[in-house]
Amino acid sequence: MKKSLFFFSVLFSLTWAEVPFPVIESGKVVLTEKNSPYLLETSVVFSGTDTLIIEPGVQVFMMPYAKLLLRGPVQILGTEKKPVVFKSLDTTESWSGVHFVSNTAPFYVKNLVVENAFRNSVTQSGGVFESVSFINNYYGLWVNSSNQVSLKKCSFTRNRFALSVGAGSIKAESTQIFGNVFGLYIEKGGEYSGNLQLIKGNLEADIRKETEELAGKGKTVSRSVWHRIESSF
Amino acid sequence: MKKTLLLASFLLLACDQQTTNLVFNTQNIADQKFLMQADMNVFLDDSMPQDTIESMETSLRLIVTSSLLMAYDDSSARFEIKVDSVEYTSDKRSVEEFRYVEQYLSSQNFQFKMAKDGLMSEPVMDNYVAHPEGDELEIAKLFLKIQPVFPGKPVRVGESWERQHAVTGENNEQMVIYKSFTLEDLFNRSGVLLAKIRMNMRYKQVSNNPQIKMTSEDFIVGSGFLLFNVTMGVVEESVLEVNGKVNVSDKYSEEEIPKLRVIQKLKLRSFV
Repeated sequence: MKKSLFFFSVLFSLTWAEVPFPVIESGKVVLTEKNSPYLLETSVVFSGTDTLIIEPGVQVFMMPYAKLLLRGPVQILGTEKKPVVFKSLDTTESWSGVHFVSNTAPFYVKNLVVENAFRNSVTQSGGVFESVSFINNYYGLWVNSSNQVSLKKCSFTRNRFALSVGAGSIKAESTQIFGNVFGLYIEKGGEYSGNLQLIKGNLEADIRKETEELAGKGKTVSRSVWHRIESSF
Repeated sequence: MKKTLLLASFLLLACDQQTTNLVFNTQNIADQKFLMQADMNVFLDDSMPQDTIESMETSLRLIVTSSLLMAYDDSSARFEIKVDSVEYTSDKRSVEEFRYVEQYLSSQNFQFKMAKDGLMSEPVMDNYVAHPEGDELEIAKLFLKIQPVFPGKPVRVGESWERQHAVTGENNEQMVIYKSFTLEDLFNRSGVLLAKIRMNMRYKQVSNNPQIKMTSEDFIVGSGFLLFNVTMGVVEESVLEVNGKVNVSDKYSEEEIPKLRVIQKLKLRSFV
């Protein structure tokens, strides 16, 4: 009996053991379902010439300091039945987030679930998020200084700030923002084009515009500018 | 004649006691813990009534451990600063954001090379990846600001010296920080020789991150003092208040925010 229990526990741990996130070799990383789940412990930076390809069904568990910074070509190719999942290993703790800075090539992200991150962002990049779910993040997705970002059939739920658009614009198609604390936040210089009827049921506010909020308070300096002054001084 | 000789030798001795060679211990120093506090107040510098002035107040408190990693033949050494704990608050962020800032700052261990006169170079962060927006704080910057640089020769009480060092920004902008120092006093405390040094600094702000450009027409100026443990070759305590006006332009919204006054108070204290 004891032997059987031991055998099963070993088999169970082998089955569920996470594979360390691979080192970038020859400018390419391919994450496969066969080797999934993966574990990312710290930060990984893909340079402008490094490609990330993720197959359907891959799960990547994130430790609290995990940050995925993608400057090169990105193809995350989940399917409806086998989505790709990024989530924290310990669901009571958040991880840093995934950041697209791939200005050399547009990213393509399909059927991805991103959970428990502090902030996911797109900066100075273009690309498509299709059927991507942002769940229980602090900043679900923050798009800044980017004009070529498309959201198709995406959903944002249980985030603190679901979608923030900084300088630049987003085109959204059939994208739902519901059940978050704050829905869409359009910062100074930001534009969102999409069906606003799909932004509803958010606890504090569905849509906020920074310029209107600042004007209402007689203020002129936006939060992001304050933050940058602090970090630059 | 005897009296004159006695007086002369006494004066010589007194004079010698008031002269010292200020050098950092870069060869065999044990790990040292420091408390670093950085408070910042930024406000729009205009003639609006006090209660309507737009402003930001932040406070950062760090406990760090400085370790000597490698001593070199030229009397310089490589040090590492490891962050033990962080407390951060700001009236422009939420509590959740405080925790996030604390989390990433606690992983900002960094290394640098330091000559025995205190000149720091080659700061490198270990395994830290900054956010592409350029809106994350950097601990190394605070240490570079408050770090004294000694003259590399013996100095008398009352003597002043000037040093400068270049700082490379996140987008390779070069900023030269001019620092001047005056040795104000030398005294013994519990068998340890301490030097009280007045410190002044000035520099022109040049920051060019992806979203904002921040410059200063006039010099940003700073003043403060430090207590240097001459016996051990370490800083015991240092206080610096930096004050200046900066112009900020937001590149994407093409908004100009002129004349922001920035006051930053830095305090460093050794636990030893």
